[in-house]
Amino acid sequence: MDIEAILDRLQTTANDCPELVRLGRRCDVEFLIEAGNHEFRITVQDGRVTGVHRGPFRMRAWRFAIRADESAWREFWSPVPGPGFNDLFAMASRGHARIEGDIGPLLEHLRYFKELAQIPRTILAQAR
Amino acid sequence: MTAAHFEPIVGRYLHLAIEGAAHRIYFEEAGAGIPLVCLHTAGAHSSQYRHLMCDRRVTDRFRVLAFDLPWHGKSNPPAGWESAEYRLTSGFYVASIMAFLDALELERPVVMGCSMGGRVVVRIASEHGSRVRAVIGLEGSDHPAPWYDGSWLDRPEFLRGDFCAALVSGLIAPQSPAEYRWETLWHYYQSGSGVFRGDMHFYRADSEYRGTSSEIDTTRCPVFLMTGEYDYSCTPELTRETAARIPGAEAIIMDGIGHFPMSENPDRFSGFLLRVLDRIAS
Repeated sequence: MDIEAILDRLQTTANDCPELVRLGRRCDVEFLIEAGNHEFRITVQDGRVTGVHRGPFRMRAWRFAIRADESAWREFWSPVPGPGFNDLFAMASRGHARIEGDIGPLLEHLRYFKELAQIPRTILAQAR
Repeated sequence: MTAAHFEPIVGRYLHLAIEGAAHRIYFEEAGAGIPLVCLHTAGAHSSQYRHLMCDRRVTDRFRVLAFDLPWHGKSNPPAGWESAEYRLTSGFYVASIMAFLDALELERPVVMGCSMGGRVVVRIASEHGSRVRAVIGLEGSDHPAPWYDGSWLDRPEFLRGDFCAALVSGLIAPQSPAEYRWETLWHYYQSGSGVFRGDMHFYRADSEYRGTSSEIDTTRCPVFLMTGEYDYSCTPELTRETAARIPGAEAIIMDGIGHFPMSENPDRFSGFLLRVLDRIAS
């Protein structure tokens, strides 16, 4: 499954997970996921993903961005990721990802964003 | 459904003085033989070692003890805690451990700690090597190597248990059973507000032992450093680097394990630990 097809399913799969929506129910934010040459702006309102827009974006605001090579994301989304790829902070601290911008919302709703970022693992498992 | 049953673990409260102040400490123990004193991670408590205390392969030969550091678990903060900010120092940490060993009159115990406990055993080995039989540093090294920005410590999230749990959650290996992953994280949900943050003073700023670690006499006090391959707080590289600085120290890298071996995957961890305990006991 290509990266755009994976992100296209993020909204439905995330919103179908009531526990995830509950974790993020006080969260409203726009953030960016970059996977190699692909950019996606994701809008979260009251814990529900209300939009996943494909880039490129010009002069468009977002609160924080998580950037990694496509291969790093694919390892992160694999069933059993290797050391350094099993978590957003594992990837960032080991140099496989960069987290930029205002990380306030990310830290305030940390468990929500960590679990939201792992949703493509579910999407890929369902596609197998 | 499992029938109702008791575990062999027994818990007690102990009154003792640490750096001249009165403290009420909770500890648990099980087994008989060589004392094996276990130190929990930052912001957690002694329940992390409950599996070890129920493993007869260990308790047949070792008296396993684990205490909650003041402010943690069921150990109280000292009277007057409400008027000062909690900050764990290297001096207080070592004094707490030595006060516990002395109060229980433990004869040449093995001291095993994880994370900040894996760090402090390096100082125990260098300053009190004649008092202990061996030290085991789980996810341990001889100096701070912070993996996230220091400004995070001043954010209000750091006072919340669910944040502390989410912060450390990625340090658990993906292979670890879900039940034990979430039990390990529950200890962080339970922590008193500001306790994990206070422990970070020791872990990130007040535990530089590189100046003395090379002087440890491992013929008197063997040093074992055991680190999970998924740990990015104390990485395998940091552990190997520390072991290389301590003549005779041994680094053991555990595959399929993260930062909390004894609580996140006790079955897998026991395979690694029993080999070390065999050598200590022989």
